[in-house]
Order: sequence, then structure tokens, then C-alpha cells
Amino acid sequence: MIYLNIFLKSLGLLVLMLLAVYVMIYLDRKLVGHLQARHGPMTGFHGVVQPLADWLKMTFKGRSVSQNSKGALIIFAPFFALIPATIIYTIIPISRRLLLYRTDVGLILIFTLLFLSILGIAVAGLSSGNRQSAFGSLYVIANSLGFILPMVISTISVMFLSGSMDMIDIINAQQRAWFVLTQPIGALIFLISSVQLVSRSQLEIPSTDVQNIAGFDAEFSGVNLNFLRFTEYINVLTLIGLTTMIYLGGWLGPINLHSVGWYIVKTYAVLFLVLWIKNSIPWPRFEASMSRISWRLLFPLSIFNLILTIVFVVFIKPLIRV
Amino acid sequence: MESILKSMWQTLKNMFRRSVTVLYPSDKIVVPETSRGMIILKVDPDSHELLCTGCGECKRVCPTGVIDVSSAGDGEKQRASTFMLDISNCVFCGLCVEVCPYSAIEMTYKYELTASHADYLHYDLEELVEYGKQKPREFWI
Repeated sequence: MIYLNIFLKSLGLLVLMLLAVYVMIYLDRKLVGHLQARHGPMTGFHGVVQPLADWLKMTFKGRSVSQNSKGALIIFAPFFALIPATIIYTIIPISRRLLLYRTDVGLILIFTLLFLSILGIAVAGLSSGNRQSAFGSLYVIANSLGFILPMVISTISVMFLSGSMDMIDIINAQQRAWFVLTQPIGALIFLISSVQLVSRSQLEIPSTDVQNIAGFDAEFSGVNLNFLRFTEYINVLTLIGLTTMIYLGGWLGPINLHSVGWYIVKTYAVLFLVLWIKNSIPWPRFEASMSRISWRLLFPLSIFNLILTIVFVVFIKPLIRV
Repeated sequence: MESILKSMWQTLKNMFRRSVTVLYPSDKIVVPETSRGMIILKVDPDSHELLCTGCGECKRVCPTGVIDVSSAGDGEKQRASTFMLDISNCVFCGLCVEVCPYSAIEMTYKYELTASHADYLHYDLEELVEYGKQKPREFWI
């Protein structure tokens, strides 16, 4: 019975993940189109079958492999990225019940797997045997390092407040007030970092303008490119889901709704916000965003936020309780 | 910060306004009055004679050298005998129209000039005259 339960939960998660990615690709194309006063894709009814058309096109397109690429590595690199990205969903509590494995170090494990997945994407570029793709991979690593670090530091503040690294404990600690209210600086850092890490378009980092035709995925085509894109979308979904769980109370909501419902509503609200910001502001150059936004602004700000939280937890909180 | 909020407001407004793009080819926009498209050779409406004398001014001024013209006859009777236009290399600068002393060349609004083979983009005198018989604005409908 327990195996059936796990099987059904896994199936549910897989279906939910695929659906979520489908809706996300649709929003990414249609919503962005409307934000830019365009129609966006119109395949099917208002473009609803466009993600399917994209998938079919990429799946049945011929796969060409460069002679300089590192043989087996270029074939399996997308899986190095995809496997950690999907494993994350065994730890993420989408609802009170829809959780495959509860662990005390959930948050750390999620960040580790997320970074492993990004490393997999970087390996994909390095295995291409193309110098520009290798540079693209280095951009991926630099970009993730620069923006995941402030993210991790701001989540340490959340860990201090909730007193746990378990995702369910973190969500339960937000029964009285969501952490977006008690940790506004941390939430802002998380949001800005998410916006920076959501980088799928060829014109954005990690494929800078110079590498527009030679990003980390330049040598990928067909099914392999499909997997790589899918991984990137799952990672974006994870990042946005993390924002929902850490700062917006996960499945907790002001009115009684199914817990998965609240999770989905909040996740897509954050996705809308991220896409809205991303398509409204001119994009800084790679080195400018790394130095000015990440290392000079978000990193010190997250350290400051951590110090504030520690002071609050250690000195002020006991006084309030008394 | 103010500029970021301003641009976010602008993009939000975009969501509720009419799309600036059209679903080509099912929808088409009216091309602007000043747009330059396919070149035609004009015919005198009364005498139905070709206005082009084949003087070669257009050939001389064309920056991409897509026009090739020759003439026959002398004096008042001089008329273009051949007129070849390779539209695939035309940059639609309109210099030929400006330089023509007889106003024999005109640019229409036709912009859909794709063809299945490069040879189909070479137009001769008869074809250019035939195009000229249509009303300019009919080209894009």
C-alpha cells in the first residue's frame, strides 16, 4: 500500500510538473507578447497549443552533433542537468500531503540540487567543444554563483526565524505572518535574484549579446535541446516555488482553498511579477549586473539582513516573549 | 526606481491596449503613403505610348546596378527597347524615380516580392508595363 501511495504521489507530481512547465512556456510567450503590445503566438486557440508545437518541432527535428564535441558527454549532459532538477520535487512540499520525502535539511538540499542542475547546464556548454559555448557555460556558473549566494544568505535569515531547515516547518512558521512581511529585505533579494536567474532567452544572460549565436546551448539541437530547455524551465519553476514557500506561506492562504490551489495561485502570481519586471526594464550588461547588482548590492544587503535577523532572534525575541 | 516603476506601468498598460502588430498574412496594415515598393514603367494615358525613352539616367544613378536599359529610335521617337530590372538586389532608394527626366518610372506599394526562384525576380519591359496598369494602392490588397 505504501508503494502504491508513493507511486501515485510521484505520478501526481510528474503530471503537475509537466502541466506547470506547459503553462509557464505559454505564459512566457503569450504574456510577454501582450506586455510588449504584441499578439504573441496564435497557434490553436490564442496560442494554447504553441508549447506542444514547440515540443513536437524540437523532438522530431534532426539532431546534429558537432565533430569537436565531447562524444558521450554532449548526449548525456542534459540529463546531468535534468535529474537533479527533478529530484528537487521529491523534497518540495507542494501541499500538506503532496510530499514524497521529508527531511530536516530540505532547504539546503534544494539549493544544492539546484546548483548541481545549473552545473549540469554548464557541463552541457563545456562538452560542446566550442570555445564560445564554453564561455557561455562560465557565464552560467558566474551568474548562478553571483545570485544564488545572496539568495542562500537571505534564506539563512528565514532559517533563524523559523528555527528549522525543514520546508514544512518553515511554512508552518508563517501561520501568523508570512515571511515577506517580517523579512522584506530578504524577500526583495530573493525576487531580484530570481529575476536575474530566470534567463532562458538567448538575448539575456547567460547568453550575452556577444554569444547570441554561440551561447552554452549553441551546439545542441533536437531532443537534447528539448531536455535542456525543459530543465531550465523546471529550475525557474523551482526558484519561483521556493519564493512562494519561503516568503509567501506556501499552501497557507487567507481563505480556505485546497492547499495545492494556493501553491499554484501564488507561484503563478510570482511568475507574473518576475516576467513583468523582466520585460519592463532595460537589461544591464552581464558584468554590470554581476558587479553592481549582485556583489555590490545584494550580497552586502543580504549580510546586513542576516545580522538584523540574528540580533532580533537572539536579543529582541526573548524579550517580546517575556 | 521611479523609472523602473514608470516602465512597469507602461508594460502593464500594454496588456490592455490593442496590439501594435497584425497577424500577417491574414491581416495586413495599410502601407504608409511614403513607402517604396515595386518599380513600374508608366504609359501615357492618352496615346498609350511608353514614357520611357531609354536615356539610361536611371541605370547610371542606380547604386546597386539592378537596371539595364537600351533604346531605339532618334529624337522625339526615341523609346526604350529593353528594360531589365533585377528586383532581388534593389534597395528601393527611389533614385531612379527622382532622376527620370520623363517621370516614366514610379514606385508602387507592392512589398510582397518573394519568389520561388531568383530568376522570377528579373522583370523585363513588358512585365513592368503590365504592373503599371494596376492602380498603385491595389498592390497590397
